[in-house]
Amino acid sequence: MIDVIWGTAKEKPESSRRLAEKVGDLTANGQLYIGYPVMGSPLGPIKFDALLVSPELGLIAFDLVEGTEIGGYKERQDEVASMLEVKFKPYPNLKQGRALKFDINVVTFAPAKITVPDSEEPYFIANSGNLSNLLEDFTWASDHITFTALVAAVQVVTSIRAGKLKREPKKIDSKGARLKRVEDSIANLDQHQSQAVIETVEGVQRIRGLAGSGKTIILALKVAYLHSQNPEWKIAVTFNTRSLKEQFRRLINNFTIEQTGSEPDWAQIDILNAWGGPGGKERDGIYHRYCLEHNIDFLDYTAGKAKFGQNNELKGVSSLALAQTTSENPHYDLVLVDEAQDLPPEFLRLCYTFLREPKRLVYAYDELQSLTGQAVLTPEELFGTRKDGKPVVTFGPEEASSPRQDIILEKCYRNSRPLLATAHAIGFGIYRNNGLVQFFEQDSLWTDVGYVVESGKLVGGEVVTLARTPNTSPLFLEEHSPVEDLIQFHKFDSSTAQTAWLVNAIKNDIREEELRPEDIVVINPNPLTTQKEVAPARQALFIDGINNELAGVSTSADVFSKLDAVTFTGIFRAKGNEAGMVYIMNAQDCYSGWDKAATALARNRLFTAITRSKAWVRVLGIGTQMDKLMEELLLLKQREFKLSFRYPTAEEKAQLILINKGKASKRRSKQRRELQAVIDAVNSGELDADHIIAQLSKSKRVK
Amino acid sequence: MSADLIATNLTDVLSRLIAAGLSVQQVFPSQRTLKDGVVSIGDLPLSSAALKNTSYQTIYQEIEQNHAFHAKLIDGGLLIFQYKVTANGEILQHRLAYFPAPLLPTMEEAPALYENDELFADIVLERLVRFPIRFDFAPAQFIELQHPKSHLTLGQFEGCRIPVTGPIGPHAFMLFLVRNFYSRAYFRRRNIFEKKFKAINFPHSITDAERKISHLVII
Repeated sequence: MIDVIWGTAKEKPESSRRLAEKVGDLTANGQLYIGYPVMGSPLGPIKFDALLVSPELGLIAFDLVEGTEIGGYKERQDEVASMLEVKFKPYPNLKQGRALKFDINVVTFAPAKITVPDSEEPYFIANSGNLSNLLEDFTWASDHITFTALVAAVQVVTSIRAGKLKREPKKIDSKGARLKRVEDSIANLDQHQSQAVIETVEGVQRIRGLAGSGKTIILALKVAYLHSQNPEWKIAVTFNTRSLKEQFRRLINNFTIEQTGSEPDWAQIDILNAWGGPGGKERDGIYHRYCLEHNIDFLDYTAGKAKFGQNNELKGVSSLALAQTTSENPHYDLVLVDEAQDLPPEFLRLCYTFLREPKRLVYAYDELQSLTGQAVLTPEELFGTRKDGKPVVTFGPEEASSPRQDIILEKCYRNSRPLLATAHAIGFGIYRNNGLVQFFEQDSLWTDVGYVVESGKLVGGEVVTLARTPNTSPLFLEEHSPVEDLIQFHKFDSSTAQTAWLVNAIKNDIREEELRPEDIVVINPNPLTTQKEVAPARQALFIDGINNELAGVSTSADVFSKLDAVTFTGIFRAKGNEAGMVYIMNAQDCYSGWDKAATALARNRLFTAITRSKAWVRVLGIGTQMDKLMEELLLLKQREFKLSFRYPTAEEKAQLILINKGKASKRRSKQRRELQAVIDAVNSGELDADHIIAQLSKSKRVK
Repeated sequence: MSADLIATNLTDVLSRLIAAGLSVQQVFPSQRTLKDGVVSIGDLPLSSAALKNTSYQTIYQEIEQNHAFHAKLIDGGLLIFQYKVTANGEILQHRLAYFPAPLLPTMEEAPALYENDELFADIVLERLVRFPIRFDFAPAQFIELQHPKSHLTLGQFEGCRIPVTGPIGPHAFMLFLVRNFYSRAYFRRRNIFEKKFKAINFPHSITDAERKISHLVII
């Protein structure tokens, strides 16, 4: 079967559609790219109408004729063929001596023409009637290895990890050497990913996938691809974590240069924080831009928090801005939102409003990063309804002749199978003594995110066993080290003992195992204690000559630390980052919270922390809570990192979801919030604790 | 007072700032021997003195991006410690500087943002006025009542050279800063900052004429 991958085909929509139909009917295998690739030339970027890569038929480029005017098709074909030759020649695997190992065939396709001139080699031409026959006569003349290399070359992306320091390990089996081998294996995009890059929807598109499935890279490539095709478009990329900004800038820059040979026009591309503030492009953000363009009062973070309360800041200011919008003033042609699971629906609606027709919005999110399934709002719910009650956005059925609106990336290229299974088992509480703590609303999500049902059924009350396969969790991610080395849990008697062990382990990683300091991240899951908890270890390392930094608002927090330093971070800033070796301190804080919702939240933190690792994880902790956490791991290990449990019934599931949406006890949570506000005020010195206690005991006496 | 003692003290200062959770990034201070056995401590890739006549924001950015500092504090404040000492241990020169972040709220303005590691901490509109603070010791440039050997410069005022009694050690500079500009953190982690250390006794360099005008006594 031939997969059709839809790029933008706006200049030649009809002929593109006819081509997709005709090629889709062929019995051969392969991929047909429409509106792809784009290439740099001395005269500026050149876009190809369509390109077919097939193990049976070989490489065929198409010159599409939208109307009936064929024109100088031979010149056009010459141009296409020589451009492709320029594109493929630099790849050593594709040539023998000075010549390519295969033919570049070009076919002019004019579906609207009743008759076309006869083909005379190498100038092929066809209409709807004879295209299939013509195509079936082509053959791939070279071997399979060359074909694989050709596919990789068509999909570009040779340097996803460009900019990263080269590592030169001396010992053949040190961790440094093993990490290098893992990184080299991830150099290319897979089929799904490259499809996600190219397929362009004239409307809303959703990309879902686990952490490490390549969402950020896909979005950056998409920007590069669409910017080279449509230099007149105003494009915005937005996200929650500041640390992504540098990463996006670098990726988009590299990819655009790779595709077109020149740098992107940064006047057309905005890489923006979700919020933003005044002070030029560097500090700008979507919400701030929106306020400016719509003449709405901008609220800064402090004002937002005061008005809408903690954790509701962005939600509050976004919905306020939407409500204050008197007439829409769209500004962008394309908006891409990364980490949408961490952004409120109101913010996505704001982005949507900010778009010109046809409202091209691409949002990527991780089904599991918030685990509760809360983020899994359907597009209908997410974007709300019109005045007539119809949803603003709805995904149509999938058709071969149009780009997909809903893309799922099921392969995880960051975390090995045991790591991911551990993260999920802990996150959901699969092996927890007191049962599950949270769950997916939709059963299909399990398979969507790459699990297969090994035994049992996804039916309430039945025992089911879920496992990841080499297909969704590539083996090279785990084969480099024995499973006992991939993930370890360590319990300590005291915080001091934990720190001492951590410091020694890091010294060993750097001095014996040839890891670089920036390969190592230490995460403290409780955001309120990070500064204090990590200080002793940081100090000990510094005195020992190992530099380190604490990720915070003032550090750029790009994955690529320039200071040769081990990174210590709280959980919020860990998101979006990855490292070879991840140490998690004080994991006991993640075993449980004061109620089920808090337990879920605490476990999500551990989930996020574990999934930062490209190779190894060390979970450290203190006390009995840590013992219980280790019992869960033991059960998981005994079951070979499979999730085996009694599937919850619809009722139980509803209960779990309700808890996590926080609807269970609004009143109680309000009281808790108020109490927290008082405690905060005491901590910050605004209120005097003794005074409050005195007052409280007085009011008790009155009663 | 030898170069080694200054270097040890400097490392101790940085390690205290880490222990207090104040320093988020550090650059190990280098030690280099120049001509005639002069030892230079804390060389950096970029001299902040070269950035005259530029806006404060640009100065800060240049220093930050080139990692031309020895410690970056949690609110983005940058600290620089540079000393030059002769072969027989006599202090020739120093430059101690503090550059607060021009755009982030300071630790004093919004402590909760930093202590709770809030994500949008950089989006706060109201800000205090920011200005760099510098303690220079440059006896070679001495002019009576115009250019004191040891002086304090506030902001980017060309002629601001408040006489100081003498050269300043790394601990004294750190304590001056944290007591005045990070007082909340200072009082919370006072034990860390005030823990005993081996002080360097610099001879006074202030002149009698300077003592008769407003000047700063560093203890």
